[in-house]
Amino acid sequence: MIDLNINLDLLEGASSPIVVKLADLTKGCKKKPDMVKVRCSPNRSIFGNWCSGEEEVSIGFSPKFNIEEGEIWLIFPAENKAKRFFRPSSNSNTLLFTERCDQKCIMCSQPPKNKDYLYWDLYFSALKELPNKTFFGISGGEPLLEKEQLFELLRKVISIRPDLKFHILTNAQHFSSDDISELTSLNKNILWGIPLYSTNDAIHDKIVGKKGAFENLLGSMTVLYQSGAQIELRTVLLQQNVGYLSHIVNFIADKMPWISYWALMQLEPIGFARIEFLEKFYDHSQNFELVKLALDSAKIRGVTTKLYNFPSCTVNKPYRELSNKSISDWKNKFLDICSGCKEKQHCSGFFEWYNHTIGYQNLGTKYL
Amino acid sequence: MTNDAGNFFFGSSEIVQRLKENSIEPFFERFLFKKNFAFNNKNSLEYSSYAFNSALRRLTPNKLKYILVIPTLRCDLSCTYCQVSRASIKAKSFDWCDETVDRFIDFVNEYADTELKIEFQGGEPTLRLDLIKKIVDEVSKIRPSSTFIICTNLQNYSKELKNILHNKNVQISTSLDGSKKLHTQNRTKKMTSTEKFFTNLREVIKDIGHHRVSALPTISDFDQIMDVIKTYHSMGLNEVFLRPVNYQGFARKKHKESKNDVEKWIKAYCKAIDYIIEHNETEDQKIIETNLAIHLRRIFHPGQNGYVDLRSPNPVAQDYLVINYDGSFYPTDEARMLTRIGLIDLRIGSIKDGMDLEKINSLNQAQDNKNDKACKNCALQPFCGVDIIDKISRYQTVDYPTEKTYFCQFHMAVFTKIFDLFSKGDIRFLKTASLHLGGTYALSPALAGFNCD
Repeated sequence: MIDLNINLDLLEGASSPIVVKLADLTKGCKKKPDMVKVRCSPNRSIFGNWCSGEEEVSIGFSPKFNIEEGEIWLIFPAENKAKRFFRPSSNSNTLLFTERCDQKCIMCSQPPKNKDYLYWDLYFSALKELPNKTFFGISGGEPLLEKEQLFELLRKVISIRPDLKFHILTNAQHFSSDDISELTSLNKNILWGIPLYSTNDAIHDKIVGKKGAFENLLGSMTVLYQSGAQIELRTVLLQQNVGYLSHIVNFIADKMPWISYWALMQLEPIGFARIEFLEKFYDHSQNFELVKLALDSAKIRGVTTKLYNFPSCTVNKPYRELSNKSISDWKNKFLDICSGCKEKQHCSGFFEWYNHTIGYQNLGTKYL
Repeated sequence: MTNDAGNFFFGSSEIVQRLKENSIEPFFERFLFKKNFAFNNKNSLEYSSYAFNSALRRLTPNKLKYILVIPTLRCDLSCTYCQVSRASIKAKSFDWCDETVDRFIDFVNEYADTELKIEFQGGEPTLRLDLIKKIVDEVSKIRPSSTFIICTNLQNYSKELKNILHNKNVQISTSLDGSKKLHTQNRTKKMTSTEKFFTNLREVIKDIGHHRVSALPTISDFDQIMDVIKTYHSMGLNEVFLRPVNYQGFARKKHKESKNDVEKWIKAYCKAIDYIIEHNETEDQKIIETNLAIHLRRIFHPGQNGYVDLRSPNPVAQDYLVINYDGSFYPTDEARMLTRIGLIDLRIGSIKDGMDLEKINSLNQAQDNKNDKACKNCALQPFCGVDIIDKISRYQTVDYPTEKTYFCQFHMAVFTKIFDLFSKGDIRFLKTASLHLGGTYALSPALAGFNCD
């Protein structure tokens, strides 16, 4: 969800927050308009209508501003502010309703702040309007800090929109056996993204900056198993845990064979990761051996694996099929040396904030 | 020691004694937790993992995923061990009729899974490429991710066959018995026919690539097993499925010795595996043996329950079905062979009249090693399988004691060999096991830590 830099020209009667869905992009309008005219519906949600319809609220924006049909915005008239909640062409539509977190991971890409955006009614109205079968992200901060409200929101939305699926990133510190029945009814519509950084409790705890986190995590995993959860277990590759990758694979196969898959993720060079970056970043393009050993172990033990944020030319060829093309809008950057590369269409690309001077040593088509 | 989840470890008999006496040391107790043999309560990862894998090992797909189709029983060869007692090339009414094809497409539409595999067997299915083409085209429309395997003797590599192979979802499987001499002796009878086959095999590999061509030997002379491996290696085929003559069809008369030769076969097979282990250590082009891969996967990949020759329970007509040249249904390829020679009627319905549920249910009662007296006390039970069709075939009754069967003795021997090599920590074997399970010939931390002392 991002803040939109637009001028709101609000007509009378609009003071409480509203949900806007931009619709009818072409109907009755050949030229791209520079004004969105929206019409009010009884339940406070407002549906956009380009160039026609009764005016309730109008929003002025620069014609250069790139908008799409089907976008969903949240508008806060009192603060003269609008946020983009959903964009159809984006694959990473994510709701962030708190920036607080009880962990402080050394590589956190979105360092916690003491800020909340707890507009539950508004989110409910907005989620209802998502297109059929949308895969929608919920992240933070730690979303489970608002567990009761989050569960209530999910329950309400899923009951009327069972086609939606949610990808919820959580540190799995806040599940208890009391949650099992609630989780059981929600879990068909949720893929939980849960971080595990080592099989050594002290090292995991140090990476996430919280004592006892590893033990909490394992307790939560039992609860999630008992409620039939689908789990994406996530490990960010770091110098601090590269020696544990094979252990993690064996641990998954031994103790959590029921998870959906293991995602090994290369470091995102932003947020806390930028502090002493070179002490954290493990350049697998220079030495793939430990990663390879873990990927082989995963195949031997039957653990399904995905590689995130691993550019194609940095991955040994037999393992490249595990590397997913990035789905996030901010990971589609390519470098000058990428021009003319045939692998580009399959490549994860680079983070928007990738800095080559402290990045991978061995890049380019000669490593393909 | 094993458990239902397929967790296992090796220990001395002293360890067993201590377990009985409940006098185990803290170190060993930790080991038992690590291997999911011990848990504090049901709300633990140990118990979750144990419960999940125990259930997963007994889970079979509930939709048709594999259909073996016999468009014709006619064949242009007459192999000594022909298991189906093929019909001669000019025989009449041994082919699918048009009505059967139409009914088959409807059947697929109604019952088949999205990930469907259709294998064309025979006879020689390429005698009816028109039927194959129609089935491939029509099934691809209603199940776009279907794959097809044409099992052919490759005596003819026609333009029509090449055309069908333009579809990348179609693969070739053929029989290659070993050296040209052996292949001639068992299969073609004439060296000129064998030459033709070898030429066609090379050509089809060149056209569609190794990954879409597989070859299978049928081993009748066990002393020749190394020649078989060497022939495959020299043809650039890196996977070989070492299988003895199947005691069916013509083989019952012409290879009578195959009924009770299990010990001889085990000896030959184990020697071949030793050879492959040695070969893989010294040669760049590695060899994968399919049987070994299947057994290793049964140990390390719970839920690998798609292979009907080694799984339990092994429900018939659920995810796998054979449809004969006359449109009748059989639970396995062996079952149609047994019926053909008149030993027992294992027909379980037809494309016209549907499934014979009563017969299917009665067969399925025995298709589970949980209910077997011998298997109950066997440590290999979670990995092994059950096959009553083979039992009926060899011993004419499902009541024959399992421990005396060919099935039990062969699989027990393979599993025992594997576990023996693991317990010794045989480095070369560990690398070949890695290759078979994960595709990389190297030592892996995933294949360590099996010994408790």
